[in-house]
Amino acid sequence: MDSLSTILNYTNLGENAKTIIYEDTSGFLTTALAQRSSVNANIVSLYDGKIRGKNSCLLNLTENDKIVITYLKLDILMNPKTTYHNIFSRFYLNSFDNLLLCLKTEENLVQIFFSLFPYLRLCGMIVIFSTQLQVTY
Amino acid sequence: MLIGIEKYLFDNKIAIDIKIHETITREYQILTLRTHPEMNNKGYSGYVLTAIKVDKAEK
Repeated sequence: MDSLSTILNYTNLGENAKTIIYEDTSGFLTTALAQRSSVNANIVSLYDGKIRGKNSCLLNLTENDKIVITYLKLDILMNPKTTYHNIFSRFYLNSFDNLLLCLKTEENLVQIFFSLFPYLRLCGMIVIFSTQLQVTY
Repeated sequence: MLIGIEKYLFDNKIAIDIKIHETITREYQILTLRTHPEMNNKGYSGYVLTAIKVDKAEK
């Protein structure tokens, strides 16, 4: 919980804030971010194709229609040959205010970071949570 | 992993205010005249890297 408060504290959640998240915590971070967000927040939550990061906590947020949460498969953004990747790149390159990564395992962290980094705008905030500080073999 | 990302951001000068945070919970023993922090605690809280993206510096 202390780590979650640190993550939310360093995320810029102003008005019209656009945030791109990749997490493997089943929507825990997305939910916390949505509850903390102010009006007109736009959150793009990526998932790895196995678990869609939506849980029952988000049902409490249906009264507030100004928070838009979009769920996307991470594979779409990781594969540059797909049409959807081209469309997403065209509209969202350099547009997000925050880039959040929350991974319990260390695999693919660097690769995912490099894939999502171009979507962050200048002066955008990078917040990455990992249980590992260095590579362990 | 986080060390590698921090080094990449720092070396390429594409981010500023790069920090790695480690959160800990320090428990205290509370006894009369024997109050002190616990000498051991859990060490798997995780790390949080924060940075601000900037334009790549021109050489």
